[in-house]
Amino acid sequence: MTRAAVPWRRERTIWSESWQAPATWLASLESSFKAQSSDVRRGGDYDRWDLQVRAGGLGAARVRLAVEEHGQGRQLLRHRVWPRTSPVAIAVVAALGAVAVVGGFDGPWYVAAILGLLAAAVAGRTLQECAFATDVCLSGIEAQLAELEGLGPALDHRLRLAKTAAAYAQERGDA
Amino acid sequence: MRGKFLYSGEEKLYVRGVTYGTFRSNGQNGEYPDPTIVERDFREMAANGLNVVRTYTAPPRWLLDLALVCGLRVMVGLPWEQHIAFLDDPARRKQIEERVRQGARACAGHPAVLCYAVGNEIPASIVRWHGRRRIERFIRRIYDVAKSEDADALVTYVNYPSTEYLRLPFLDLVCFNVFLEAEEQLEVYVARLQNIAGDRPLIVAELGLDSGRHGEEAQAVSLDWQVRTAFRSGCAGAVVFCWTDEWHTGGIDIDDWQFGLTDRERRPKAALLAVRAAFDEIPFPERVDWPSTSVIVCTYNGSETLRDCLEGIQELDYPDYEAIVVDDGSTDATAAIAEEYDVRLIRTENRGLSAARNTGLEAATGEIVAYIDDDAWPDRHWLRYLAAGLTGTSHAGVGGPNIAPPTQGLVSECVDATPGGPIHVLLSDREAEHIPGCNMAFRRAALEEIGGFDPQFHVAGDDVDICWRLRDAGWTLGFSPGAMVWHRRRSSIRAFLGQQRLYGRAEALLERKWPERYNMAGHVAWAGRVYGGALGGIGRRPRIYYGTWGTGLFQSADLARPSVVAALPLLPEWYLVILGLSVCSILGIFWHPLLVALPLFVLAVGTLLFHASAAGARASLAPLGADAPWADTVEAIHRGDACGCSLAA
Repeated sequence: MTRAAVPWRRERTIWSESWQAPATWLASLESSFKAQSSDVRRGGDYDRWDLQVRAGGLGAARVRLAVEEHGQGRQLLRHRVWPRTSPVAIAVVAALGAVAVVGGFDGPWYVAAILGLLAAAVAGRTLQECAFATDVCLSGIEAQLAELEGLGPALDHRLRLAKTAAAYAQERGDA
Repeated sequence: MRGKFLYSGEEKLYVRGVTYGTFRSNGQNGEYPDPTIVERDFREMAANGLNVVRTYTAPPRWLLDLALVCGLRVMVGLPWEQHIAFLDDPARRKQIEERVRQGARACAGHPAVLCYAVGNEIPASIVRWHGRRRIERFIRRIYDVAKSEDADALVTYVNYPSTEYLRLPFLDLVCFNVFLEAEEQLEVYVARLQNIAGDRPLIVAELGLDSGRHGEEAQAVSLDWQVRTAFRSGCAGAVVFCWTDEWHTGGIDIDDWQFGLTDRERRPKAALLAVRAAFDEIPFPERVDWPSTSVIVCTYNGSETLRDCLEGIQELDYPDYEAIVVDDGSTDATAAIAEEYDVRLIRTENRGLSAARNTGLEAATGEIVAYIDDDAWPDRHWLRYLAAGLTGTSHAGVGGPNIAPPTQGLVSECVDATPGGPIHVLLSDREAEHIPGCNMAFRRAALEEIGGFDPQFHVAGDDVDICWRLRDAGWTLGFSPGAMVWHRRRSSIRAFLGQQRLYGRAEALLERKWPERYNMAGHVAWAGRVYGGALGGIGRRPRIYYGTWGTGLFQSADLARPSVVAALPLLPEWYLVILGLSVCSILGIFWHPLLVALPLFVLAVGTLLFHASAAGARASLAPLGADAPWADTVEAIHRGDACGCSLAA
């Protein structure tokens, strides 16, 4: 897990002409994630997310899938990927940051600086982990797309997305 | 629409429906067959006892005309692109709204229109994608659009078990598509849906079985019990899916599903006869041996409302019942009014409600004794539902909903939305912990076994006590959603406060008698869930069960118990807190440190006001005036035409 993607909310769509159950799509995605990360979890019965990839104890990325049924076995898979920071990370950054600010006003500057650096380090590490995890998710979705289209993983990312967008636009015209 | 049921004029309208289409589009008639075929189909439907046809697309005007000629009403489906992530595109949202508007406008005002369905089964995957609240808000939006085009029409959305958790309290009636292949499962599930529907009518908008896979005989047998179960469970209607095997959807003809009551050539299957027979006998078959029942009305100075009650009882549809009025020492015209009706009048000195109930019990000859308050009046089929709830189970008692008439005025409607009214407490969707005294029926033998009502309860509390005693004696209690009574709420704040004072005294008696059922703070600890009232929306956010990866077939919302913290402002002690904080705040003028109580005082009052506002927002206070969609209904209820009762104060 070495690549990173900017950790914000992303959406990807895949057009499929051959019908599969949503659980089958997700199982395939899960396999793809597992090929890149050892910490892949399924969402529970009460969760609105389907898969989670963690890149450490501080940051993760989650994926939700919606499957639009377009008749005659055609499906549009919508994936939403978003970063998820651990509540512990948020608490630690907030606490260190708050103490650093207070220390900056009322204490030795070097204590405030050390605490501030610590807060920044934890925040940075959290972002990094989110970025790693987000990349795993996006790569997994792209791998699924490549598999679906019988294309190699080397295919340009933008080209593949453009193809799915075109397929979707065509379908929207049909609808 | 009146309470749990629909009415056409003064007749109760049980929806006996069938779905129609969708069909392959042809240029001339849109998504419908040739008018001659439609007319033949409609005449066949009518000849087989059906009275509603459900479409999935907005029908052309000629189709509505044909339906009217054939004596059918149309449940108009307004389709849109619900299979895609429609909320992600603002332009598409507007297109959908416009489509709904055009569809409703095309049918607006036509007398054949029963209601509009502004959606049908938004896929669970799409709902989960957008989130419950966004979807609910959008359905509300298109509901308003349909209403704006046809204000007098009923508007609904057809939900299904996979998105059961959607909360749509604004809909006029609740519709669910339910396909279950076991009678007990359907009965249990409809009971759950009834609790979701609350005081609104519930219609099973699709039920059926594929004769291609199961055979025509199995289809007929299944439809027979499906229809009967729906009505026995208090539904206002059931719609069979579908009229014919001819079915075109998603751009192709569907050849491998045969849910039709007729085949593609419109030759009837065995299921058509079965459905006809089942619909002929709704809500209950006549041939059943109905147990004799005694209806007991206990009254004390109830002359203002007793007439409505007795007229309602006289209109009951039940083969074997007697009515007993126990006049508990009234000093007004109660006895004179009772004597005008075909009832057994028993006059006693004033001894209190429980003693009067016991007097009625002693005089009763029926196997079942049903109690109704003198300020309530029953739905026409009230006794049927109560008796069915007892004969089909081992319950000692059965209760039903008591619904406030919609025309009582703003104060009464506010009182109705206020905690403290007579509401049922359910342990499950069908089993009750408590049924309110204004609408309860018991096996006479069970009541006699435990010695009847405890006479120490003079005004209230007797129903709670009898329910607890029966349950302690090993009996169970049931709830029948169709066993509906109209129950007036207090029409002034003063009367409401007086009622609450009496309830408080009764509560104190109950606490003395049942200390183990009260907590340290003196509040009753129900094992079941309290339904209705302002408590309904207070609590933790419901947890939605989606199933792993959102694939659950039955996706429901956990009915979260009200959180203790959220319920604190509803406790009487909260007012003591406010009083204490206000005293401290005032004393703070003289000793400033006490001013710390002032923000707390503001917070306490603010919380109370927030709760009241939130409850008020949730309450469905009916619009006043002739423009109200149910204005005709209101007028009819006032006239008392439907159930022979009058609300003239």
